[in-house]
Amino acid sequence: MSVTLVPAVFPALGTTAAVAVSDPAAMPTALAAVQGEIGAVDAACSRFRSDSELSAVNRAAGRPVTVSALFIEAVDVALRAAELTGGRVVPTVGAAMRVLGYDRDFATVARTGPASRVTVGPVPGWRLVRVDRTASTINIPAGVELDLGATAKAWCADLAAATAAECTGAGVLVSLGGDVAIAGPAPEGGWTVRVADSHAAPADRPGQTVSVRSGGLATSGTTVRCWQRGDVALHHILDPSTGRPAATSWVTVTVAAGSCAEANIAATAAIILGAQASAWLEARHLPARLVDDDGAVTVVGCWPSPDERGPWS
Amino acid sequence: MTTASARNAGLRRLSVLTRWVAASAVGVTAIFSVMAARATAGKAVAPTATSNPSTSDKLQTPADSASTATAPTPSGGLSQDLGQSNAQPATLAPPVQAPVPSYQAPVVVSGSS
Repeated sequence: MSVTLVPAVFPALGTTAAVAVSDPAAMPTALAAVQGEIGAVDAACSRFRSDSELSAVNRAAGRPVTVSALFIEAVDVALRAAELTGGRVVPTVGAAMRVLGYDRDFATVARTGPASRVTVGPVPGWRLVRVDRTASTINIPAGVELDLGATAKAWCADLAAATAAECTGAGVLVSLGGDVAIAGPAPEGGWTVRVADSHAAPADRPGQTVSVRSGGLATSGTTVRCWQRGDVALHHILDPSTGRPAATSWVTVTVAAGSCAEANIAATAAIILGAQASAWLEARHLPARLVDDDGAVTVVGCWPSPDERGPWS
Repeated sequence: MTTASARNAGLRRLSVLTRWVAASAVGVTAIFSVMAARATAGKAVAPTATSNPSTSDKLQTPADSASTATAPTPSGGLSQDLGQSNAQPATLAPPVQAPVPSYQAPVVVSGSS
C-alpha cells in the first residue's frame, strides 16, 4: 500500500526541519523525539547561543572545559571529518567565519554591506583540539574558535532519525536544511527526495528526484548562505588553507552516503576540492551530483543520470 | 678433474641453486602478499587517529595532498594533538543502496541551506 508521506515542517537550527514517517500514526511520537534531539544538539553546539557548550569552550580557550558526552560526540564527528578529508573540513574555522562577517544567526547577517578590511590566513590546525574522554573535557588553544557548522546539523539529523525510528518502529526521514537522514524501514518505493540548489526550492524548480532507502543524502552549496561586503562575494564554506571562502566552480554538490553526516562531510569537501572533487568522490565510491556555476551537471559513481527523470523531474 | 675439484664444483652449483630457490621463494611470497592484500583491501587495518595520533599541527592543503602547509600556532602555543576520534572506519561509508530515479512526488528537497 502506498501512503502519501506529508512531512511536518518547522524552523530549527537556523534553518528548516522536515520530519516524515512511513506510518502516519507514528508522527506525534517521532516529532517529539526529533525535536528533543534537535534541542539537545542546539544547546550543546550552537555558535550563536552564549549558554551553549561550544560558546563555553571558545570563551575558555587555553583551559580545559568540562562538557557533556553529547558535545564530545559532536566534536568527534567534526574531528573525524577533518581526518577523512585530509584537513579540508575542519572545526577550527570559527574565528575566520566570525571575522568574515558570519558572526550571528545567519537570518540576521546583512546580505550586503560596505567593504571592510579584514585579515585572514590559514586556520589553526584541527589537531590542536584536545579531547580528554576520561575527564570529559575539551581544551582548545587560545586564539582558536570552534565552529561545528560543517558537521553538527547533518549529524543531528542522523541522531534524530535514529531516535525517532527506535521510538516508533516506523521508517523516519529527517531533513535539517536539506541534509536528509533516514532510519527504520523505508516506505514502499523508498523516500523520494528532490535535489535542488536550495532546500527551500519548490518541487517544480529545476532539479532531479531520486529515491533513497537508507543512510543519508546531503547537499552543500555556495549560493544560499552567502553575503557580500563591498564587491567581494562571500559564502560559508571556508578553505582551511586560506581562511577564505572556497574558490570553487561548484555551486552545489549532493552526495549519498552511509549516513547524513558522512554525506555532508563529502559534499562540503567536494566544494573545497573544486576540480579534484569528482575523482575524490569516485575513489570513495560515493554517488554524487555536482552542479557547476554554468548549471552543468556532473554525476559520479552510481548517481542516476540527469536524463533518467520521472514526471516530477 | 680430481674428486676434490668435482666436489667443489658440485658444491658451487648447489650453492647457486640454493640462492635461486631462496630468491624465488621471497619473490613468490611477495606476489602472494600483494594478491592477498588486494583481495582483502576493505578489511585492512588502516592507521587511524586512535591508533596513531600525530603530534604534528600541520594542515594538509586541498591543492596537493602530498604537500603540507603549517597552520599558524595560536598564542598559547599548544601544539599537542590529543584530538583523536573514537574507533571508526577510516573512510567515508558509501550508501548501502545508491539513489535511483523516482517517479513519485518528492517528500522533501535536498539543497543548500
